[in-house]
Amino acid sequence: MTAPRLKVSDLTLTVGTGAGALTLLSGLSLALAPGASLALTGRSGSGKSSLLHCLGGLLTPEEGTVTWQPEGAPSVILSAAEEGARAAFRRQHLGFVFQFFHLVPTLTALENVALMAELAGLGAPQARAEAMLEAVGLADRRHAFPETLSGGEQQRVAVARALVHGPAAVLADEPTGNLDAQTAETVAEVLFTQTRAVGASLVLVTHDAGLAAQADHTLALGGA
Amino acid sequence: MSLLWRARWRALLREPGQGALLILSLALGVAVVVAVDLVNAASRTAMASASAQLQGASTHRIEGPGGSLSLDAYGALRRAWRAGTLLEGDAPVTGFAPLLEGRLTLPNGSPLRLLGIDPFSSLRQEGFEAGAGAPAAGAQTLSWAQFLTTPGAALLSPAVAPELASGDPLPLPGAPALTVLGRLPGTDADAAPLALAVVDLATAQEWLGATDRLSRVELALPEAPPRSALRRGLERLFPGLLLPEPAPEVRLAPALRAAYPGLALRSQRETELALGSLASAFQLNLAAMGLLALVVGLYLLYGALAYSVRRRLESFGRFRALGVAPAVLRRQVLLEALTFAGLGALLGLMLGRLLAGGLLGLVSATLEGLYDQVAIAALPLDWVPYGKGLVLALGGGLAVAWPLAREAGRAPLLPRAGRPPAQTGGRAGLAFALGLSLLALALLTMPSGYLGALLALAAILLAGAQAVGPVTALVLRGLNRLAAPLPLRLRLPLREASRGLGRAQLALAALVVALATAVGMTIMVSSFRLTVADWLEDRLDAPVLARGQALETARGPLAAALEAARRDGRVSGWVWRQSVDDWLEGLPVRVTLLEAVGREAPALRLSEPLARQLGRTEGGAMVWPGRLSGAEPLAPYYRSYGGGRLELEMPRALWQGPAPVGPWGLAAYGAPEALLPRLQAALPPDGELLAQGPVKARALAIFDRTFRVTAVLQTIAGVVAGVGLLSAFAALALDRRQQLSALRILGAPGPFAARQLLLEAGLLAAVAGLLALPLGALAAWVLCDAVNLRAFQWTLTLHWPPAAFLEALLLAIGAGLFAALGPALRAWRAPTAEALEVLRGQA
Repeated sequence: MTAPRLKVSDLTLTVGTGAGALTLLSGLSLALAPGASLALTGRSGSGKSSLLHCLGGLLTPEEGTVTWQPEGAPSVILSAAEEGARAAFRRQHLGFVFQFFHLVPTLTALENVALMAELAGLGAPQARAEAMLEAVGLADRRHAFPETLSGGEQQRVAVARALVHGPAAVLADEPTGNLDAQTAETVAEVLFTQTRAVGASLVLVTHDAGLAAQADHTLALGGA
Repeated sequence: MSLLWRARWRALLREPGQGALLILSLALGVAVVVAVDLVNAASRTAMASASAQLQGASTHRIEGPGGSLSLDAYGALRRAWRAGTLLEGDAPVTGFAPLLEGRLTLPNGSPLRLLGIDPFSSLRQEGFEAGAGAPAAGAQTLSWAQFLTTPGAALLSPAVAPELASGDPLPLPGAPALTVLGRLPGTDADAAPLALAVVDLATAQEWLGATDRLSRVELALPEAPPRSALRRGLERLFPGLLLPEPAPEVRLAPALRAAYPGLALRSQRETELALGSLASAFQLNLAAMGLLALVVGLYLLYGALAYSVRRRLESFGRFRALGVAPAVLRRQVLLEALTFAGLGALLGLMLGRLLAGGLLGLVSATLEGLYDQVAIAALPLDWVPYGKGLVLALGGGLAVAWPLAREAGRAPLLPRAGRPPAQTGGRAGLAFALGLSLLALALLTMPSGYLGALLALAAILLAGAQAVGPVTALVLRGLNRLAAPLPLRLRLPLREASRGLGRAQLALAALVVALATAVGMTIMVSSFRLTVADWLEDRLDAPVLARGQALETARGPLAAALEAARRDGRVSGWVWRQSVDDWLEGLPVRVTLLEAVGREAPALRLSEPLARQLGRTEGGAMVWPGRLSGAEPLAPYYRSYGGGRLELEMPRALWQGPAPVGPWGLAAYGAPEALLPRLQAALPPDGELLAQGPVKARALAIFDRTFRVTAVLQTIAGVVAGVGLLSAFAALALDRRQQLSALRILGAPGPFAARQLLLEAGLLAAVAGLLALPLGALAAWVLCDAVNLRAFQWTLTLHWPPAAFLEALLLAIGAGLFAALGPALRAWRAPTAEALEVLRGQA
């Protein structure tokens, strides 16, 4: 049996302190196989984005562990790692897609993607980025700056950026939340197709039932 | 408060650091202006106070050759005065007072100026009576009878032996003690601590061993027409910026000039002028530096307001679309500017008072160096410098805000597609810079005086500041192309620097102006110092100098001693010199006649100020009927920084004019340790021997002290610019928070963001530093070849110390890195959770 790519055990996450403290997740456990996709759904404030951030080592849970097993690399308990080690893990083995794209405005589409490859310490970042942009259908827009790209194009650049370094998983927070339905469909297709193409797992947060349905698994939080 | 205002103040309060830095930069600018005005006013008061104590009501003085007036000449002058024929055209003279002046030494080794007067004719009588009657320590009411009948009776200035009471002896090493009769009045509470003793003329002659001569006769002439109200007003508003006016010309009657050719009539103001050139240069520098600091402060205010207004153009447009009148938006911007300017001005006034207190010591030391004993005791209680600081800050604030207020009032009702960069127009900036450059060129090529040259300097600096944005953008674009093969993490700061230029360009421009001024001033001072050192070497080239009234009587023994030394190889040669005051083409001149032995024959040369006044800077031939036998070859002029006196020198053999009767000087070229004992033995009793090395060293020390205060003000102008940089780079970091947070989440390590911010700031500052170098060199050239030349007839040999350029460049980069260090460290240390918060907040 293949070892899970991601294993979450007895996760408890609280936000705020004292009387204002709010427990978002309590005793949550899950496992995700390599190449599988998981959609996190639930109403606003149910803790789906917080769970995604815990998986990416951006938030530290009070209890429980988040363990990653990248292919060909030792497993890492990210929830127990130090800040520097978490950052290193993210740039080597994780890719992120944000709702508002967050591309660097002074870099072209190609450079935005290449920067991630460079941060991951990979050789020939430019060539990798070109290949990735071609894969997401933006080869002809590679020299365009973000401000001249449409929302859908920017998000496809963000997907290319998330995948250029061959990550173990892609974490996407509302990747289509800022797009119209037609563009959202295109972006979702690119996201799922390319994630599978590189063999990465995918965890995405979404309010869109259609998008969630495309995932292999769905986890509804907050009882929704 | 309306909701509009409330929205604005809340936005301001969200970035309190930005507002505080802006207020601080303006406050520092105002502080420098106020401090410089206070210190300049204080130094002028001190000089006037000392001058009043020394000169009393006298307006002119008649001096004999070498500062000595024979009793015979005095008698002739007195008779002519009584007959009303003292001056050419029988011009009226209301007072005539003989005076003998000399120096004694106080027990503590400091000099005491001894002034011998005739109390019945003295032009200082009123002041002395008041002083004599003033209750000094244990003094009873005094009378002139006591002054005349008490042996060695002296009135002392307050600074001399204050512990002594009336009737106490004042011991003097090497001379009989004086008897304290009373105290001279201080001219006001801030009286200069001048070491002065006033005695009867006969006492002075006895104490100084000069029974056959006087120093001079002082005259009181009816007052010249007062200065215009405009000039007086400008002098009060800009102390130090206007140079003193020359006094109207008065001449001795022709008969007296013919009978006593060595006599010279000078106005006291002319004497002040001669003394005051360096002080004026010094005050001029101070005033210019003060105004510069304020300009830098206002520039930063403009920069911050421009950024703030342009960033809100969309919101102003929305308000307009909702029906808010443009006037309301204009008022909002103006009120915002006034608030910043007002707070900056208030803080600046307080800082200015403190800074002036700190500068007082430095300026006082400078004046002591220039004027021997003039010192400033306190700052004046004058509201004008404070009022001026306030008005300049508020007026300047409104002036820089007005175009921005208009821009806010005209904000487009519908937002434009895409986000407009907050960058000031490159083309408009370059066009303005070109206009300013043409203005500077016109001012420099036209006879616009030293104020015109100063204006040209300001125009050049402003033009440079205007060009900083466009030129930096161009340089960064070029660098960006060159950097194409580099990794993206190194190219990213270049791109971000280009993007951040709109935010930082005014702060960078302020930095460029401050650095260019520093480079210009450093080169000017360095050139000035080198030229003065060369001049001292030229004028004081002989290692040993002998001088004295009776040197001529000892000419034989001195020559014998020198001949003996020459045989021993201890001296290579010597030059006898004697001066005579005369008139050349209507100008009063001092002619120095030279006789060289064992040295190259001296040439006929004019001093630079004289050559410039006569338009004879090229040399050629000189004709001077009655003084030279024919057309004599004129050598190139020699430089002179000794004040306003017009001088020329020539071989004694050329001189056909009246025989000079003044004291002789002897310059000997040989080792001082071997020459001094030999010459000492042959020296007459009143003769003086000087080793010139220490004299030169002292002159350079005075020079260095003079410009030390300028360096302090330069530093403050730099600090103002530095505060502007802090503010600009903090804002740049704020603008990049979202981007760097996203990269942090993607896995960029903490130092990545810090390195990005430091590289970006270092790059921008380095480009600014590079731009400041040619601008500084240009400023130095204008300062040396236009401002100083026009104001004081001095030309300086331009000296370009590489260290000045390197220092400026390193300072710029250092300032940039320092300004970005805080945001960089914050970015480094910030946990990832904070990055997440930033993205959540801005999403």
